[in-house]
Amino acid sequence: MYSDKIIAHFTAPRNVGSLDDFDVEFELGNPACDDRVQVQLKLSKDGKTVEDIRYKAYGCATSLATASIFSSCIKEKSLDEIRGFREKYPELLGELEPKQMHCLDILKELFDKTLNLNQHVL
Amino acid sequence: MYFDNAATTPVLAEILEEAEAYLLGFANPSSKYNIGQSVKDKINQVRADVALLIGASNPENIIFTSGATESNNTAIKGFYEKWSELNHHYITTSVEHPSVLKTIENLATRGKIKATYLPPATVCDLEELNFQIAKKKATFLSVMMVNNETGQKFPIQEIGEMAAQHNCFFHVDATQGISKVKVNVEDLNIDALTFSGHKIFAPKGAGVLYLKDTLSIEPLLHGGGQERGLRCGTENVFAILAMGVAVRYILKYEDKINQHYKACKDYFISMLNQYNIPFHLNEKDAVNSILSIRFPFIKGDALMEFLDFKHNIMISTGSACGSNKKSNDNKTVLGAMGFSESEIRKTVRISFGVHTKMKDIKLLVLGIKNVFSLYGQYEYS
Repeated sequence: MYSDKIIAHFTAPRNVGSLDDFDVEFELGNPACDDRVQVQLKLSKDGKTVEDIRYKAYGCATSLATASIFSSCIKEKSLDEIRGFREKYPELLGELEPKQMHCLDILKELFDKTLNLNQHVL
Repeated sequence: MYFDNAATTPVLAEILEEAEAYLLGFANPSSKYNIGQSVKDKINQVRADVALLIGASNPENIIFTSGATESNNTAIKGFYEKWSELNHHYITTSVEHPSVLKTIENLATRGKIKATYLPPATVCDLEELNFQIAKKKATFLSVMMVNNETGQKFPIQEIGEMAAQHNCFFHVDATQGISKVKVNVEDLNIDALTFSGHKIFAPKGAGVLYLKDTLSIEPLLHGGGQERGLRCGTENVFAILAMGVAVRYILKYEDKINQHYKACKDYFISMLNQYNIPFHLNEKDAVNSILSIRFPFIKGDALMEFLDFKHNIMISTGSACGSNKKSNDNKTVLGAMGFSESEIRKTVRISFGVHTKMKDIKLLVLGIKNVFSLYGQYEYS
C-alpha cells in the first residue's frame, strides 16, 4: 500500500504545469515502465536559487507523487539546500514497497539533473 | 461508488429480505423428514428457474456447484475423465477465464490432452475456426460467451453449429453473459454451460453447470450422491436459494436490465465527450455493462488508485480473478487482442450493474476530469 505522504502528493500534486518564463528544461524517465517527468526551472539572476518550478508527469501513482515531492523540495531553495536534500533523497519518499523502489531512481535523477544545471541552461 | 460489477455484484435487496428465512431453514435437503424435503423442493424450484433462464427443457440437467470455477473444472476435467481412452485435443481461446485456461493447461501439461489456445480474432473468424477444429480433430471446444475484461461477445450461435457438425463437445463459460445476453442452450447447441451466482446479484458460494447429457462427464467430487451423483457434498442451500431469487429477478427484468446497462454506457460516454476528456474504447463489439477503456494521460493503475483514494470510486485495471496470479501477467487478454504494452498500461475496466445510478456515473466522470486537470498536461504520445 501507499504511505500517507505518497497519497497526499499523488492526489493533490504541487507545482504541476508549465512556466511562461524559464531558464532550464529537462526530461527524464524509465523506458521500461513508461514513467516520464518533464521539468522547467526558473533560476535567480545569480543562478544559485531555484525560484520556481513546474513539471508535467506521466506514470504510476508513486512516480507522480515523486515528482510532486521533488518540486516541493527544490522550490525557492538555493543549490546548497537542494544538495542537502539530494544527500538524504532515500528518506524523502517515506516507506516504500518493493514495486515502488524504482521511484527512488527517478528522484535521484531529478536531483542530479537539477544540480548539474549547466548542462540544461537554455 | 462501485463500478466493478464484472468482478462481483452487490446482492439484491430481495435476497436480503429472504436471507433470514433461508438461514433458519437449516435442514439438510437429503433428510427424509418434512423440513428436509421442503428445503429440497426449494432447491429444485431454483433448478427449474435456472433451466427456464438458459432455455434447458429438463431441469435435471442443471447441477449446482460452488461457483463457475468449480463448474468449469468439472466440465473440462470431467469430460476427459469420462472419455479418457480418446485422443483428446481441446481448443479454447487465449482470453478465457483462468479457471478454463489453467484447467486445460493442467491436463495438457500432464500429457492427458493436446491443447490449442486461439486468439479471439481467430475464434471469430469462423472459417479459420472450422479449419482448426477439423485439422486438430478437436474433441472439446471451450469459448466464453462474453469476455470478462473487455466485454467482447463471441458468436456462440455460429460456433455451436460448427461444433455440432464436427461432433465436438461445446463448453461455454457464460459467467459474464447471464443477464446481459439472452441464452438458450438448446438453440445454441451447447453441451455444457457454466456460471456463478455472485456475478448475477447473488451472494458468493453457488454456481451452475448445465449438461446437455449428464452422462457426458465423470464427476470430480464423489460422496453422498447429491446432484444426482455429479457433484456430491451437502448443498450450499443459502447460496443456491439466494441465486434463485436473482435468477427470478433476471427472468422478470432482463430487458429492463439491459436497457439500464445501455443507458449507463451512453451516459458515461456522453459525459466524457461533454468534458472533452480523451479516451479510447478497446472493444467496440462489447456488452453494454463492461467497458475496457484507456485514457492517454494516465496509467490505468494510477487512475484506479486516484479514484479510490480521493473519490471513493471503485474501478479495476483488469480481472479480479487474474490479480492473484503469481506472475504479473494479468493483462494477457489485451495482449492477445494485439494491444501494445503502453496501451495495456493505460487500460481500466469500468463495469455497470443494476444498482448503478446516473448521478454516480456523473461523479465518476468528474473524478476522471479531476485526474485529467491534474495530469492531462503531459504531452503523451
